[in-house]
Amino acid sequence: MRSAFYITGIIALTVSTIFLLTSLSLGIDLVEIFALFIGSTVGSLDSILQTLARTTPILISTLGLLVAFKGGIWNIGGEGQIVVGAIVTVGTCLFLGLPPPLAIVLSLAGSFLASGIYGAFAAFLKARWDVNEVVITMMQNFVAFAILQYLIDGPWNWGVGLYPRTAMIPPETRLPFIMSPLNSMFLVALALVAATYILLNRTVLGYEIRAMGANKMAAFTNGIDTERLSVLSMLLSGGICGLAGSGLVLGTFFRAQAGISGNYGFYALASAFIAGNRALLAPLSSLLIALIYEGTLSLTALGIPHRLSEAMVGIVFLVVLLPKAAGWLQEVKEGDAADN
Amino acid sequence: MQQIISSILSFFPVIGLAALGGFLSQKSGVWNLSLEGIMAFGAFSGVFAYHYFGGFIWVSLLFGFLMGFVTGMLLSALTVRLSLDQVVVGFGLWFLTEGLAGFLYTTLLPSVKVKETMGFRIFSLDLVFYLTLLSFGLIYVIMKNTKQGLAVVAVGENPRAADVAGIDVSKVRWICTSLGSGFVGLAGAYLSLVILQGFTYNLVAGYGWTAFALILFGRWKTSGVFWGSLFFTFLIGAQTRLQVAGITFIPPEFVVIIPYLGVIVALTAAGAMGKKAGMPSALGVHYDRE
Repeated sequence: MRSAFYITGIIALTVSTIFLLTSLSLGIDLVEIFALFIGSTVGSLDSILQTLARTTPILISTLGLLVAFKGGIWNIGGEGQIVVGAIVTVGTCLFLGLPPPLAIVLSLAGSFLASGIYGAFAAFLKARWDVNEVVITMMQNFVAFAILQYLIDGPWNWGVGLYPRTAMIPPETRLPFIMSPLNSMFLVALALVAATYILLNRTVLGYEIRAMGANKMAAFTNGIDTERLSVLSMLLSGGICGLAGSGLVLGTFFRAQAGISGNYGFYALASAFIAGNRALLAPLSSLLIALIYEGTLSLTALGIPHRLSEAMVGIVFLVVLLPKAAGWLQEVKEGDAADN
Repeated sequence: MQQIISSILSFFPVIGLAALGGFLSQKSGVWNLSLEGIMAFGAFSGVFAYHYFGGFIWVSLLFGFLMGFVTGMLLSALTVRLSLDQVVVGFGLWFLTEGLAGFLYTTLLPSVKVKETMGFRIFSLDLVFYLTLLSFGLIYVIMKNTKQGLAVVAVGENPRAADVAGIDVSKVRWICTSLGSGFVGLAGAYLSLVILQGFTYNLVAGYGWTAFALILFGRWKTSGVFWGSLFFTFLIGAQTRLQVAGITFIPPEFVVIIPYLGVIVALTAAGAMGKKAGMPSALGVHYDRE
C-alpha cells in the first residue's frame, strides 16, 4: 500500500514538473495547462468515458505483452500484432457475408489466431535458432504496416475520402456502446484482466511460463519443454494484442486505415513495465498512460505538440523505476519474487 | 556507375556509425536498446545546433554526437550505477528520446532547412564517410591489439575476472556506453543534416533497430558489423532506387520493407547456420562488486 502511495506521488510530481518546464519554455500559463489536462481527462462524464475508451486498447495489449514478458520473451511487436488483428477483422466483416453475431465472434477468434501465429513466428525462430526476438518482432511491425498500407491503397481501397482506407463494416457487425464513446470492448478488456491473471497464476501453463521467465535453464532441466512453451506463450501474447486490433475496428473506427494501431503497442510496453508485469495492476498502468495520452492530446489546443505524450511516458516510466533501484521500496522487490 | 555506388555509399555513415556505437556498448556488456531514439534525438540536436549556433555543419554534427553522449551517460547511470534492468531502461530511454526529439522540434524549430552541404569530397563521398571507415578501423585495432581494447572485452566476457585484474568495470562500461551512444547520435545528426537536410517526424524509420540487428548479425565482431553495415547500406540503396524507378512487379508498399525483411532473413540465416558464438558472456548482466 505504501509503495502505491509513493508511486502515485512520484508520478504526480514528475508530470507536474514536466508541465512546469513546458509552461516556462513555451510561455503558456501553467494553470491553463493543468485545467485543460484535468478537464479533458476526468472533468466530465464524457471525458471520463473518452479516457476509458482510450484505456481499452492499451489495456488489452498490455495484458498481451505481459504474458510474453512473464515468460522472459521480449515481445515488442504489439503494434504489428494489433494491425494484423485489425486486418483480419475488416476482412471478415466486409467480405465473408456472415450473419452479424457470427461475424463478430469469428473476427475476434480469427484475429486472435492470426496475430498469435504472427507473434509465434518470432518465438519459433528464437526457440529453433536462437534468433533475437526483440529485433524480429520490431521488424514484423514494419511488415504488418506495409501489408495494411498495401490493402488500403489497393485491393481494399474504398475510393472515397482524403486518405486511403477501407469501407466501413456493416452496422450490425459493430460492437454496441456501453455509453458512447465507450464501447463494450472495455468489458472484454476487464474480462481479459481476470483471464490473464488466472492463466498466469492459477494454471499449470501459467506456472510453467513464469518458471521459464524466472530461470529458463532450471525450467528446462525440470522437464518443461521450453521451446514449445515459448512458442505457445507468444501465441497467446500476440493473440491478445490481436484482440486489441479487432476491438479498434469493431468498436472504434469500423474500418481499417493507416495508423490504426495508434502506437498502443508501444505504449503497452511502458504500461507493462510500470505494472511490474502484474495482470492485476495492468488496468491502473493502462489508465495512467491513457490519461497522459488523452490529456496531452487536448493540450495541442494550446500549441503543445502531442509528441509530449511519448516523452512524458518515457520519463514517468524511468522515474517509476528509480525508487526500486534505490531500494526505497522493499515491498515492490519482495512483491516481484512472491507468487503474484 | 561510380556515381551510383557513391550515392548508395553516402548512406553508410547512418547505418555504420549507429551499429558501431551499439556494438561498443554491447561489447562492454551493456545492451543499448535505445539506438532508434538516440538517433532521433541526435538528428534533432544536429538541426537545433545548425539553427541556433550559426549554421556550421561540423559544429552541428558534433552537437549531435555530444547529445548522444549525454544520453549514453544517462543510460549508464541508470544501468551500470543504479543496476536497473538494461532492457527496461533501454525501452524507457527510447520512448523518452524519440518523444523529446519530436516535441522539441515542433516547439523550437518549425521546418528548418539545412542549406549547407559538406564541402570536401573524395569520389563524391564526404569526410564523414571516411571518418566512419576510420572509426571502424580504429576500433578494430583497439579491440584486437591494445590494453584498453582487451579491458573492454574482458569486462564484457567476465567482469569479475577483469575486476580482480585491476580493471574498473563500471568505468569501462560507462565510457563504452556513452561513447557508443555518441556515435549513434552522430549517425542521427548526419541523417538529418546531410542526407535529409532537415528534421522530419519518424525520420529514423527503423534504421536504429536495423543497426541493432547488425550487431547480432555481425556476431559481435568489428569486421562482422562492418560488412553487415555495408551490405545493408546497399540493400537500402537498392530499395530507394527501386522506389524511384517505379517498378511495377512488386507493389511500392512492399519495396519499402525490403531492408526489414532483409534483417529477418539475415538473422534467421545466421542463426540457422549455427553461428551462436560471439555474444559477450556478461552482456546484460549487472556487475556488483559486493
